[in-house]
Amino acid sequence: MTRLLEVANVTRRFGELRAVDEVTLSVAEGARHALIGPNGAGKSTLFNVVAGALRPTAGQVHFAGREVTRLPEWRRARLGLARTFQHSSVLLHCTVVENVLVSVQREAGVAARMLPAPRRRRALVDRCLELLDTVGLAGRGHLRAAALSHGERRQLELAVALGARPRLLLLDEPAAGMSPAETARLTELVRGLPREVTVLLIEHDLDVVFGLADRVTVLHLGRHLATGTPQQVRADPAVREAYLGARDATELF
Amino acid sequence: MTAAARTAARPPATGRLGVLAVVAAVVALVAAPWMVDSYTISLASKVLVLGLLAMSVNLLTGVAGLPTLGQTAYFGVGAYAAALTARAVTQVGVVQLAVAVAVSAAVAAVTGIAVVRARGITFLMLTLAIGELAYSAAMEWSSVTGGSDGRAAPQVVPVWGMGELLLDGYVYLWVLAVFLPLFAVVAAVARSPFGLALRGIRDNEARLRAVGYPVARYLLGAYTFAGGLAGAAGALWISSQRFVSPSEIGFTVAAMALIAVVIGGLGSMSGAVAGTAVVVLTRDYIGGELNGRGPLLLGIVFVLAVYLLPRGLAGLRTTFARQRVSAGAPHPGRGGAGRGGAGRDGTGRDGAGRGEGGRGGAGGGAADPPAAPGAAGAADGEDAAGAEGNEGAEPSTPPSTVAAVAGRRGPAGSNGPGTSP
Repeated sequence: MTRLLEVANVTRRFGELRAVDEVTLSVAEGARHALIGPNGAGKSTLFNVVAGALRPTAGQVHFAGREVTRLPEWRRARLGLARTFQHSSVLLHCTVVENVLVSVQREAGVAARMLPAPRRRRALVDRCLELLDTVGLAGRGHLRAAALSHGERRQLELAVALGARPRLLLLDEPAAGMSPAETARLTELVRGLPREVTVLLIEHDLDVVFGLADRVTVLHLGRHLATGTPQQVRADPAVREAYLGARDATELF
Repeated sequence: MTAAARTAARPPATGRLGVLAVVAAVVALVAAPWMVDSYTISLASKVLVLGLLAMSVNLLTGVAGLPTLGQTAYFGVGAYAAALTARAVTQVGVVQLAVAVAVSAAVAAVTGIAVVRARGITFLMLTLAIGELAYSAAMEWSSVTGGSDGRAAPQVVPVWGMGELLLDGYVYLWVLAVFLPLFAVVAAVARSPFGLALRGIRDNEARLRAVGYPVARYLLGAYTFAGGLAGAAGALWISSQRFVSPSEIGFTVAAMALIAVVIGGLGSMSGAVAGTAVVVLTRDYIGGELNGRGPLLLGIVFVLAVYLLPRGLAGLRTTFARQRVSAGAPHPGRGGAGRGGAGRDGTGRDGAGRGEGGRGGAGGGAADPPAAPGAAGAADGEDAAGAEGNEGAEPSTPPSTVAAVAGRRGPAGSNGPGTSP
């Protein structure tokens, strides 16, 4: 399998703190790769380095066979990297459809047009409505995004990310704050994504992780601890000790 | 997806009422010189000219979320460029207009490179500095600007072959002939993909960067466009007032343009013009009767507007539309919909510093948008129309006025600009 994303010896410091410390990670094309670790493990920092919101202090990031370490975030997005944010980042004063339209019109290459074109817009809005349907927000398109519940906003985020037709989808705690039913739906949705979309996700809900991921990487205090199949990681004693703080924590899995 | 869901999410084509209102407004504007006296008509010219300036402020402040006090700089550049062209080159108005737009847009593009990196209060302060610099330049560079004496210009000849415009009514019609297409263009830009991108940047620029928008370039584009628009207003100022001096492009004018935008309702272009009308009439028309206490009255109007009209004059339209709907088609759950307009997005983060969000939220609890679109029928169609932006003059309503002016980052508070008219 080809590598879609390669993170090589990436370090990111904040002052004296090494939030990410010499982490190497590769994500295969088509994978469902989970990034787990206790709070402060450096997951989100690593995510931001991959997405381009943060520059690494050292190390390289390759995406789709190209070095992107110095590439600004928006350029990486155009290469096919899409992300959701840990803290919901919907456009509160725009409508739900407009939220998705922002990424759909960008993907269609018409975002910089300064005059409206109703027919083109209709076609793009149709695509938005399909995406909203996919994520379970059918019939909510006309609402102001601020009127959505927390769980719905997470669903909307996903529609926005998918609207960019990503090759690699970065999901930062997509199930955080979701009800069990919403979480189940989300898991189903991500599982149902076509294999052309590679998924790298951070998640605390281990049911989601083990229900989705075919590969798991564990970070601890900024360092890479283990990578493997869910079974391997589950059985790894070092992971148990670091991640769960106990040698015997079988019941937690 | 069901057909019903599609209809719910997409509003019908522009409503007949909307078209009618636009036609009526244009007819009234064109007929005005035959209806009112010459002093009033010259005030109307002033409203249109400063209305364009307010629209340029609104494009940055209401649409892109960048509160500015610097558009008078580009207004001034346009005015001086037009005055100098009129004196040295030609009296032809379209030439003056073209020169003014080109020069002011170029100046905005160059200065914009630096300013569009700032946000919120920092942006406000930088644009204030630009406005003050322009004022000083107009004062000091007297070989070009005439210093504090200013520059007068001869009567305008709109296009080749026409005579000089001597009557206020004709001058007004020339201003209107430029104003209307410009207004249409700006309204179109606000509803274009580019306009949506700007509103997206206003709401959350990290989100836009993450889907592939070079945010700084978009903002520079908006800044340049707004600069050119302010320059066009400057050229029309010369056409109608035939004189420009530093005091015409000073801080007072910048503050008034911002006040006009807030009174009119952030993000609404027709609101910006209506707000300008309120400001000009208060200061010049009524103020004249009050022995020069116009500014004081303006201050009172501003405070009242902020308290009584959280969405500005443009917000009234939504409120009326909702009342009309709930009166015409009463159904359960829509009874107290009158205040719904304020409550709808009252949960926004902008409310934090001001308690405004809280107020909106309280209203919204009762009159939230209908959860089931099918059940809400006509009311829902109205919602969708306003929100989706295919009807009415503007797309979705921007954040509440004061909070947005004060900046979208940090605890900016509410005492940003313009509280001292």
